[in-house]
This record gives sequence, structure tokens and C-alpha cells, in this order.
Amino acid sequence: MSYQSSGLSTPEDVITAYQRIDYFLKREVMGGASKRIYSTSHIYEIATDVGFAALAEALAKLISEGRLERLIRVEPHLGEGIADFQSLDDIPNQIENWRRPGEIVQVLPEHLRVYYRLKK
Amino acid sequence: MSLIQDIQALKAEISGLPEVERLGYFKCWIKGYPDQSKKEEILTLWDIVNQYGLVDYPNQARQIVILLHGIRTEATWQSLIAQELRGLPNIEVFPIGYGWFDAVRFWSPKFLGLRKFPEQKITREIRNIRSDHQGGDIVVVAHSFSTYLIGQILAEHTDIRIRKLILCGSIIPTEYRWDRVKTGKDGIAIVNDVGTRDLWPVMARIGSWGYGPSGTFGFKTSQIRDRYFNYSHSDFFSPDHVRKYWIPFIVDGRIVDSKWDVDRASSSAVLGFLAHVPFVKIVIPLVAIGAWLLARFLLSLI
Repeated sequence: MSYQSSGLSTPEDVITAYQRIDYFLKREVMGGASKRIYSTSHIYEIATDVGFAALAEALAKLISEGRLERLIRVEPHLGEGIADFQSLDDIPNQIENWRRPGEIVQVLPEHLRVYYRLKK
Repeated sequence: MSLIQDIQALKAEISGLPEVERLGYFKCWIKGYPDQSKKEEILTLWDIVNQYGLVDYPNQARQIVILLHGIRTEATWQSLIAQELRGLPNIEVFPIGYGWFDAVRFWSPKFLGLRKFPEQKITREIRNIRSDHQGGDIVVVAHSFSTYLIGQILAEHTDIRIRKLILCGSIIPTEYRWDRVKTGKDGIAIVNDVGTRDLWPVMARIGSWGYGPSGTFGFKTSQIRDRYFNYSHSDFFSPDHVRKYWIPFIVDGRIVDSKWDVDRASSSAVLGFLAHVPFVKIVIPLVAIGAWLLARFLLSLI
């Protein structure tokens, strides 16, 4: 079984993913995109064909280096974020959906989407 | 077990809990994960597992995905889909082509043999891939003219074993003998993604021999699942479509329903008429015979 098919990552894959994301981020900084946020799938498209485990490791490294910060967005309906949180502990069990007045959302783990943005 | 497998197991566990308990369980699971150095990665992988819907992949056979394009194209969609699929575990992808296939050869009657070259090329490619990658399931994604080719290959090369087949923009005749191809549990699982705004299958049906409008109307046979979309001929090639509809089928054979299956209106009567009138078999020969008789009559007057 290969590393990728076992859900593991090779050090080479992590380095490749890191370098590709790093290059992308540098270009974004040069373009003045400090406020932009990126979804996991967006960054996965940038890292390309390295495997999910390697992508997750590379992103964790960029966060630990202070290059990126992660935010957790509650999206009860596809593409409709209703609140952002810095940490999992901050997320309450219920949130009022400001997009649909009167709707109280029971937050489920399936509603959580992870986004990344450049750290100032 | 790797982290991603742990997360897939977590997803399965959580789905069995009452909704009010899920978030709390999720938080506790992350806090209690034995390797806390992986904490940052867990949320990223959770997001990925949620988006890509992979739950059972550790037990899945390897999938060897072959992408086949249509005519008059360099098929940039193959790269896009290959990129989507290559990040998934247990999947290898092979975009296959047969060069620039012009419209003249496409429209030429089958008996002239001008369509044979791409069929032979793809047959060789599938055999080579099969031989080099034993032990995996072959999955074919075919678009437009390639659907015709794969239909021919399955009919003529019965030793070629394909496990799953995705057709889109199909021009295979609706009367194709799928009963001669082993489908179902031990045979090929087939999904035909139909674009209800796709005119090309009807045009192909009108203009030449051997083609049909299955990409516009579906096959309507028990052996194939027709799935309808409000699409034209090449609208299938978006990351969203691939992620939502093709990846679940490729990975674990799940067929995700399309809302358009239910919402679509009846097909246009004109399109239905054009799709079923045997132009090249009857109308064009009749017109040709009429023209010949008229010419003879006119010549006899001179």
C-alpha cells in the first residue's frame, strides 16, 4: 500500500505542498490580498496532487510559523456562513442565523468549514 | 490507523449521535486525541472529509480512472478532473486521447471505417493500463464521441473488464444492447449524466449512422442509471460537479441524485421528433432517390 492510499504523507509531499502554498501566499502578499480568506479546497487546488494528509501537515506548519491563521466558519447551508470563530472551544451549541431571521441553528460538526487567511 | 482514517471513523460515529450531542462529542474527541501534535491538522482533515464525503475508503479497492475526451478538442477538462481525483487516496488517473479527430471523420458513415483508429487506440490503452495495474477496478469517464467509442469497445472486446462507467454528453444510440454487456452487481455499474440542453447528441443522431441521443434523453433502461442536469454538452466539467456527483461514484459506487431529475420539464417536441426520425436511414435516401428520379425524368424530356 502506498503512503497516499493509506492516508499517510511522505516528507517529500509535505515539502512540495508547503512550497506551493508558500509561493502562492507570497504572491498574494505582493498583490495586497491581506484581507482575503481561502477555503481548504481552494488551497488544496493550489497544492495539487499531494494528498490530503500532506496538505494538512503543510497548513499546520504555516500556522505554527505564524504565516497563516485559521478561522472556523459555521455554514449550516452550503456557502452561507453565519459566524466565524478562532477556536473550536468558542463555538456555541446554538447560533441565531442572521441570514434567515428567526432561525436558530443547532451547530453540528458537519456545519464547520475551515478557512485560512494571511496573518498580519 | 492514520489520522485521516481516525477522522473518517469519527464521522461515522458522530452520524449515529443525536444532533444536540454531536458538537460536544466532536470537541471532546479532538481534546482527547492521543497525538496532540496533530491537533491543527484534525480540523483541516475534518473539513476535507466533510467536503469530499469519503467515509469508507480504507476498505476500498484501488480505482484506476481513465478519462476519455470528445472530438475537436484538447480536452483541458481532463487535467481539471485529474487534479480533483489525484488528491484522493487509492485512485490513479489516466487522461487518454486520440489526437485531433475532425468533424469529417466524425460524420462519416461507420462502414467507411474512418472512426476505427480512435477505437483501436483506446482499446490498446485500456489493455495496457489493465496489464500495468493489476488488482484495481477500472473506471472510465467518457464524454461525447468517446461514449460511442466505449460502446463499440464493450460490444466488440468482451474480454475488457470495466467496473464503473460514467457517460456524459453521450451519443450512444438509445437502442444499444446493454443487455449484452454484463452490468449490475458483478458487472459494470453505469451512470449516464444527461444534459437536457445538450443538442449535440441529437445532431449526431440526425447527421450520421451509429449515433444516438442518449446524452439528451437518457437510455431509459434498467441497466443504466440516467441522471439529468440542466446542462449543455460540456457543462459537466466543473470541480463542483466532479466533487458532488463523480467522486462518490468513483470512490464507493454511490450515485448522488440530481435535483433536475425531478424538476426538469418535458423535452421539446421538436427535439424529440428530430431525435427519433430516421434521417440518414430513410429520409436522406428517399430524398436522394427522389432527386435521382427527377433528374432522370428531366433528362428524358431533353
